[in-house]
Amino acid sequence: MVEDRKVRTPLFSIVKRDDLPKYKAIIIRIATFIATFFFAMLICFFVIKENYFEIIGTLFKGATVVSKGKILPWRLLMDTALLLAFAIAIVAPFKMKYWNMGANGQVLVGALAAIVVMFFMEDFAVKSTFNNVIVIILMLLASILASVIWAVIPAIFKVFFKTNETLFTLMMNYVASGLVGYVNYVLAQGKKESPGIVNADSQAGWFPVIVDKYFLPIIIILLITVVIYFYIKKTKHGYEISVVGDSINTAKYVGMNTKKIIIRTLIVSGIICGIIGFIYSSAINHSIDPNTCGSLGFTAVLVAWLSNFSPIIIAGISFVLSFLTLGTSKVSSTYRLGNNDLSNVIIGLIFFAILICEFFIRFKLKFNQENNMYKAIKKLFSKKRKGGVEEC
Amino acid sequence: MLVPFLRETISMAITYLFGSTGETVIEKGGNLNLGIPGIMCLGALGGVIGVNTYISIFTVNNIMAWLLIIFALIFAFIFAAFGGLIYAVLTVTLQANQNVTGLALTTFGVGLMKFIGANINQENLTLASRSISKLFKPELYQKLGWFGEIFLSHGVLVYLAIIIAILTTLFLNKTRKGLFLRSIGESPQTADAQGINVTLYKYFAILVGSGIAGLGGLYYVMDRSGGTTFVEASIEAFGWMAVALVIFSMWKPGIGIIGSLLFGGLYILPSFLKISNVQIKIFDMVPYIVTIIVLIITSVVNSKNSQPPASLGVNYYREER
Repeated sequence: MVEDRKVRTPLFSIVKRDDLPKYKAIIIRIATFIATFFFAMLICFFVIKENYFEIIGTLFKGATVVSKGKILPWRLLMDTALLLAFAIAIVAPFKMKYWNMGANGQVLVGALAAIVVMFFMEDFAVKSTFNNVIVIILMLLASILASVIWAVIPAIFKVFFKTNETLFTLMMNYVASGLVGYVNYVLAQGKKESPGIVNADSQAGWFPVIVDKYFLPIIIILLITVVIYFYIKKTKHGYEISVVGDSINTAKYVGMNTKKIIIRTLIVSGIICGIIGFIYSSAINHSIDPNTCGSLGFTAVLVAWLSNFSPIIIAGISFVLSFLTLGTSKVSSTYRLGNNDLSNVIIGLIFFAILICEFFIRFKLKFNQENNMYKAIKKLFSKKRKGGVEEC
Repeated sequence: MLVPFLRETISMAITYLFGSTGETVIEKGGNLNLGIPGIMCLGALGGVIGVNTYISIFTVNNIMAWLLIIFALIFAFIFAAFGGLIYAVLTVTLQANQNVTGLALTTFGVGLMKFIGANINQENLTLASRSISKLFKPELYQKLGWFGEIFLSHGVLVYLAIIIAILTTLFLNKTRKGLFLRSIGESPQTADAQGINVTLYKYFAILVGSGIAGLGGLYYVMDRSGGTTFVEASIEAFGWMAVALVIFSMWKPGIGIIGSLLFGGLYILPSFLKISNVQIKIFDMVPYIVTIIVLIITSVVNSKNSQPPASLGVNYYREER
């Protein structure tokens, strides 16, 4: 049964574009970011009702605040380094299209393992500097081991049973924070929620401080970033990862052992998470609670995806986001907005805007000449132009 | 002991049930929405704003429970559907990655709820919550003994959640439109070739699904927690549980009712057992471990009935055929 229907042509169709030069795409992204930033600040302005530029000034000052006696804004650098490390940890699995949402949990169990070692080996560590070094190394190994286990469990089920890794790793986050709560309670012998700062007097198992508390951790993270950069771009392993990510069947047909590759990549990811956990326990906090890493694991997912798997771009985005987070927290406290959730709102907005601009980088709109609305608009415009000419 | 436990179980389960029913509708259309925690937060925020609007119009002394709840429902639904609209525009029309969009939405929604929520009058909420959670308690239930206590002592939102879950099952399985929606989730190409408007159905599924999920946030704040723990509420964690519950229920809202009861029971179990604080900490992990075990079992069994929609998580780009 064929009805005599009018052919309906849509106003425009979406066409893939491949002619956009790389530098233009980058300019579009940066412009989008800046525009969204000023828009978000406009929202702040309507909430706070103070001078617009003063608010932006407060944000910049808050982000780059240098504490007394220091030369560099260490807090900003450390936050950047941590987000960078999280994103670097999950970027290799991502390249394989393995959605590792569990970086938070993996780092938490690593940090927890390091804390436990630190807690129980205090007596051994205080005997000599050499012993202390051994304890620190043991902490690192324990942290890496715990993180690797946490990262590999979902991977094993993924490769053998195709268990959904997104949800598996998500749930592992909550198991990890539950575990932290439990062990904290045990360490504090049920008297308090947590033992607080571990080895506060003896400083056993604390990472040595050079220049600043944050200096060595940042250097370690930068080293990891460089290593991962070469691992992804220049090694056979990195190549295998990108083949599996492009098409797992192709990888199988050319004789790659995809199961091995996936598990191996997750081990690498776990090792990095372990190092981050170690840094949290040994160098930064010397204590642990279920919210130690906030929602860095999730933000890192966004960062890793947005960077198109390039460690250098990851570093750039991490810096910008940490800058914003620190800056907005200053804005919140200065103008008494009560809490620091403003930064999440702004980060959310920026990601929405960038997702929109990604569309215009990948596609273009092609208007259909046959569409009635298009014709009408065109007619309208051509009439107007004619009218204009006559008036002249 | 058992009766209050079962009562609390039902009361807790409803938060999950709203979220998972909404997410099921969305996933049946082929979109994996990881923004559900954010959407539930937006729903909670909307509900709270609705309640505040009502009180500012009619004043505190003049609360008509039915009207109040309609206000709250409409506001919660609209706020949550707005979150869904952002997700739909980005993933359906603008072809953005679904996981990334979902996570951005969660960041945004949770942040917005806490940001605005900090400035909201708590007293109004507690007051309004009292009338919302009492609304559907007929005097009858006290005469029915344990049965009344377990099943009839809840607020109206509890029954609404169950009705919505059943209606969703009927819609998906018994109606033509539901069939179309499911076919889009399996293969949008085929559905498109059949003349089904894929974009329209996806938008519909995402908006309505988000709206339903948002009611979960409203329910938790205004009924379950009595309006007191608005900002500290761990709605985000409940949202992730709701996403997991969709898998547990094998994309069937009917089974979701049972699943939500199980999850709810596990969540409140520690407070009913005579155990030490240390053991409670262990119990905190149990719901998540159970979810993981269920995930593993459903993937190992791998039966035809428990599979996700085939095109789940993949955007449909018409030109690419």
